[in-house]
Amino acid sequence: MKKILFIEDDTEMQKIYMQAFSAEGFEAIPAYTVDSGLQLANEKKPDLIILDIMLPGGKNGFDALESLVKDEALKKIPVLVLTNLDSEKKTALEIGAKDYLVKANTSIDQVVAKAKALLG
Amino acid sequence: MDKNLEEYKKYVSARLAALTPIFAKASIGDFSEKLEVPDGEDEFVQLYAGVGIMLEVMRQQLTRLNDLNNSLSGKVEELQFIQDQVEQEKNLDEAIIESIGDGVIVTDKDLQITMINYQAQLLLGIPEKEASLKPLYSILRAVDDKSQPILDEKRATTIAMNEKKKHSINYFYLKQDNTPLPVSVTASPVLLGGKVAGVIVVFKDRTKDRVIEELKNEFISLAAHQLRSPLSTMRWNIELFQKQNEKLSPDSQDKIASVYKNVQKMITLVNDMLSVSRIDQGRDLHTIEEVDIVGIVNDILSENKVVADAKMVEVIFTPPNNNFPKIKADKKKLRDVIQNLVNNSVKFNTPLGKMEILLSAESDKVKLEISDTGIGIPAQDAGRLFEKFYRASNAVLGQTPGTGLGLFLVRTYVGAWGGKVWFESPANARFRAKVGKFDNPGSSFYLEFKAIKGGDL
Repeated sequence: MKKILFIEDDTEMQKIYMQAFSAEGFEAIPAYTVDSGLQLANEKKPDLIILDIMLPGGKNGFDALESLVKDEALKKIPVLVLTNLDSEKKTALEIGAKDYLVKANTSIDQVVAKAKALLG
Repeated sequence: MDKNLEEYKKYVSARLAALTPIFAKASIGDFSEKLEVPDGEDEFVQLYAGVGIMLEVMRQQLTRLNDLNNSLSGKVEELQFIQDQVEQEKNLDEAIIESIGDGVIVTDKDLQITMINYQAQLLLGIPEKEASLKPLYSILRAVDDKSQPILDEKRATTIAMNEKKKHSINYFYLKQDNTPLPVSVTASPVLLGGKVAGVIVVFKDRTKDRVIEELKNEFISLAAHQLRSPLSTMRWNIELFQKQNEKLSPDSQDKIASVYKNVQKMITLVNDMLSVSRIDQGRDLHTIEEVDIVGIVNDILSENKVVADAKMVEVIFTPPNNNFPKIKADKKKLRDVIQNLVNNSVKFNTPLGKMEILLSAESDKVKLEISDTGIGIPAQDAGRLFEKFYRASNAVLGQTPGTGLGLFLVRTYVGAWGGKVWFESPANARFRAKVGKFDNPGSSFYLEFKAIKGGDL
């Protein structure tokens, strides 16, 4: 079973991810801050990370992305940035995200489809 | 003989003595004394009569002179009064112009400065004596937001003189120390007998407005981004709900579909608000690339099929042949532009109406035409249709939802790629002949872009 780590502070969204992705046969792992996300990434070695940008706790999605690409053990894990900011695509892709979607403009089916595509 | 002469002398003196007081008075300008002509018929009687006539003539002339004098001094008083009034009006005008919070500069027909008010001197940092009689454009140096000089023919004054009507524009003036001053400028031609006799330039410091504008844009941007989170949660929850509850009653299905549609509408509105605030902040960056407009039209039409079918609007589109020229545009924004026009064509159409998309290429231009049998655009709204937040009167009356931002975005984007957008309503004759009789006037919107020739990008 492929594992997907969701770094997202909104509990409502986490609930949606859990439902939508378990229904498609994935193991969905929730993390609510950058630090817990990085820790879970190390422990569970997910196949894909779906990352929000605006996050609480002093570190944002870009910080998470930078830590991930610097980490030898984690840098191979593809990261899909899923956020409601639409002006940060260029920055996110430059740091090393594989793709960038704006939540409000994407259906949940499209999110699942994109995740599947990134998992190959 | 001596005695006789002596006698005659005495006689003459006596006869002339009566004249002495008359001449004495006349010598100081008094001709009022009446002269009694003596009896008799000697030479003195003739002299007296002559002097009498002379006095009478003098009296009449004097009266006439007096009358003239009186009427002249009346006129002089009148003139003085008018002059005082003019002076007063002038002082009042000057006081108004001087105390006004806007910069005011007046020029003659050759654009030479004839007046510059205190506020203008203050804003520009130029004293009156340095500006007076100088060419306007040597004192008012206009630049754009990238500090590039504004061409003379694009300046408010030139346009106002050429079009013989008031023209307003926003740009920057360079102060005497070369720092830019954001201004909104209104130039009004002074017309005398239909000819331009000069121009009045009124300009306002926009610094504060710009700060407020920026705060407003930041607020809109923040609010819109904040709204996106709950909206996406709602959207996704409805999507999951619809998937898991396929056996809902038709009524429940309708209700949930309606909620979903409205969530989508709010997302569109939020997106439009963000686009507009980006344009206002000058943060609206375009990624210009070679774009296949045929593919985009195809995509959009298939995405809109459900909506068009629901309204029973027939969509007519014959894709052009394979080597249709490409254009230079921002792909995502071009999608928004065409989506907007297609959406309007369906939204404002009548059930069982028609819309047609036509793509054509002539010489170096690509043209897209969208015609429909919709409610059309009233003449009164035609001039303002592309303005921000403007909605046509019949669109508001018909309660068709809309933000008044769609066509503003269309014009702004298309303009940024060097393209053109315009419309006609009623729809063009070719389309009307094709679709036959409809009660609605309909409309035809046109987009025109430069085609890319081989290897031209």
